[in-house]
Amino acid sequence: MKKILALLLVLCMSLTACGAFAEASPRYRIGFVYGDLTTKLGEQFVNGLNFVAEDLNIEIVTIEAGFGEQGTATLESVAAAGTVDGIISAAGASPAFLKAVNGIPFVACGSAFPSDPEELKETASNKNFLGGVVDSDYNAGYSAAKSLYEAGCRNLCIAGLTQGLSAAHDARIKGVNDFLAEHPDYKLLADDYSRAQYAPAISAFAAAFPEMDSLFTSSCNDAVFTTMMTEGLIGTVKMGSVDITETTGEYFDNGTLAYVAGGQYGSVMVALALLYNHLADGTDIISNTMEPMTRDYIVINNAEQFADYLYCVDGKVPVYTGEEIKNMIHFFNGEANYDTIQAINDQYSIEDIKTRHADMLG
Amino acid sequence: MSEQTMQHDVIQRRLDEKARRKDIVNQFIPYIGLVGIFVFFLIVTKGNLINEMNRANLVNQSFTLMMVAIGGSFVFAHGGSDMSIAATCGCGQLVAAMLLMRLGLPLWVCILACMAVTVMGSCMTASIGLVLGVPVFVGSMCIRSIFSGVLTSATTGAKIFVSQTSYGYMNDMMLKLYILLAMVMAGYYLFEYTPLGKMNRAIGGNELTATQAGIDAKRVKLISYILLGVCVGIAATFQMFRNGEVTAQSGTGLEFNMMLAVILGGMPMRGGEKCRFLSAIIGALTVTILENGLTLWGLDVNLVNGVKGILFVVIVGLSYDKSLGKLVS
Repeated sequence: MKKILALLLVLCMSLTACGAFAEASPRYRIGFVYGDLTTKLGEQFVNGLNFVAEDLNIEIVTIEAGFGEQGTATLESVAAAGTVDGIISAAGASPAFLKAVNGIPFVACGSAFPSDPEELKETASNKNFLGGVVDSDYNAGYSAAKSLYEAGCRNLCIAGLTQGLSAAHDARIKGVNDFLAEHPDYKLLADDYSRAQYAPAISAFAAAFPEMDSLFTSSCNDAVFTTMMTEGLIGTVKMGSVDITETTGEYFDNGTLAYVAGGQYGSVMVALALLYNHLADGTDIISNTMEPMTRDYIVINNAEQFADYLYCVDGKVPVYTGEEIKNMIHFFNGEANYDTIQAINDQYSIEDIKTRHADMLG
Repeated sequence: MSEQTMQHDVIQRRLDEKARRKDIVNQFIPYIGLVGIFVFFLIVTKGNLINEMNRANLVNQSFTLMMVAIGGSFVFAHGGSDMSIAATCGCGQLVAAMLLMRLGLPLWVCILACMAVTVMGSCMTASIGLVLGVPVFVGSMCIRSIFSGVLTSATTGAKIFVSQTSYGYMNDMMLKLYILLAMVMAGYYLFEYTPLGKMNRAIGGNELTATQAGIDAKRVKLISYILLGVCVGIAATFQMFRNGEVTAQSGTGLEFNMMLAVILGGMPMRGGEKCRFLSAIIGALTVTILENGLTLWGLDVNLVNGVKGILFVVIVGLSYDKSLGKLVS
């Protein structure tokens, strides 16, 4: 009798073990495509994804895609190598890219989401396109101009990326221009869109417009600050921009920066949730892939807020943990759907992160 | 015979033998390189290099480069070069895309317009050299600036989207393969069996001698640049449909890849009688397999460019004829 009971016990334990294995999350290799992974933002993207990789039992494969045909060829080769199960692209999403990846589920992120209506229509018609998550770039531009205006600035110069290259940059500039149109007393002195060659543009502005009291750049790097320093603009010109750099803190401290938008790497983590939903149990969170999920940036207006940013967004814990991403995935949380994820997106702010991560941040 | 003359003969014979050996080695190195690279990537990619999907990739990825290399071989054979082909390729795509997507003109009109733009670019490059006497390299850099300026200005505001659904057949691998084969055969015939190829090589060998022998060097050079323009036009058309868009970056890197392909294939930089048409084809295949293999292997795209750059320096260093001006020329 004891032997029979022992046998039954072993059988039950085996079945339980099998059940446990069946319930275990599958392992996926997720390709993350970006133009330049060596930048601060590129580093944040990868760190955020890698932070949750263990909890989700996935492996992140980073892919630096070049421009034009080189980008297409890179994706073709990645697909042929069979090294990824799904792709998150922050470097472009087009019918050509979807054709290149040949059947691999694909989520677009940030400025990668198509802006041309025809291109979007054709991209969205591909069954492997799962939609996208974009940052509210228009709001970022509009808010930047508003912050500069509220800081007392009335004469603005704009330096941006060549128009047409990035829908995100174009939207930021449009936001600034719309604010200017609503405020005739805030004057646009000059704008320059020379392939994000910010340094020569700023030097030219400094030489031509001594009355300039504010500057907006459609993205930011340390060369922008260096040029402001060498041109003697520190203390006289306030600046608004998008992207955090290594020296952003210094320029909040000396009063140069009035507005910076950052923290957009959270969008890639939400994109991962969308992709995982599809891979795990075929749940497609976005039903109309022509309409992306939209998220606001983390907005920083002063040194105190920047300290919070460093603590909550750019610290040891990224803006979402593995458990929080799991909560966005139907396979782990049966209630996860478009509305619950969009609600999480809508709450995205420093205060939201402080609340969610209070125990981890100490 | 004096002792000095005998010594001179010995040195000459030794140098002749050395040059002959170098010629033989140089002749086979590109083929050995191609096979070596192929086998290497076949092993490290565990056979993925030739899986079904990647075979189609190799055709698609080699098409543009092989097409421009076909035209480039004529220009390189007479010692010329063209640094403007990337910009003219981009502008050709721009014009074709605008006519196709904005004006809705028939495809054949757009293809012809694209080729007209690239041929115009090549003719302008050639004319600066032939009429003004400016080195063709400098001339092509000027044309490159003009065309890239036009491309950037025209795509400011919005890139031009090219539908892949409506023109899916332009991405058909077999269509590309047939066009490529036809162009390779036509190029081979023109280069190896017609006066055009021979005259180009003669000019590359010694332009003065070729001119004194009755060759109209200017005319031959102009025809070569026109041929290059036609090939760039065909490549531009298919590249436009492959990428599905025209941006300020369209065509980027084409000139360097063409130069790398031609040199890697064993074509002397100065041109001349040692130029062979197959050098361009072998070189283009090698560059394609190299790029594709490195990416399949997992190397990021920036390092791929770095590897190509190093390879270019090494190959030029090995193949450049350093004996010029010595006993053996």
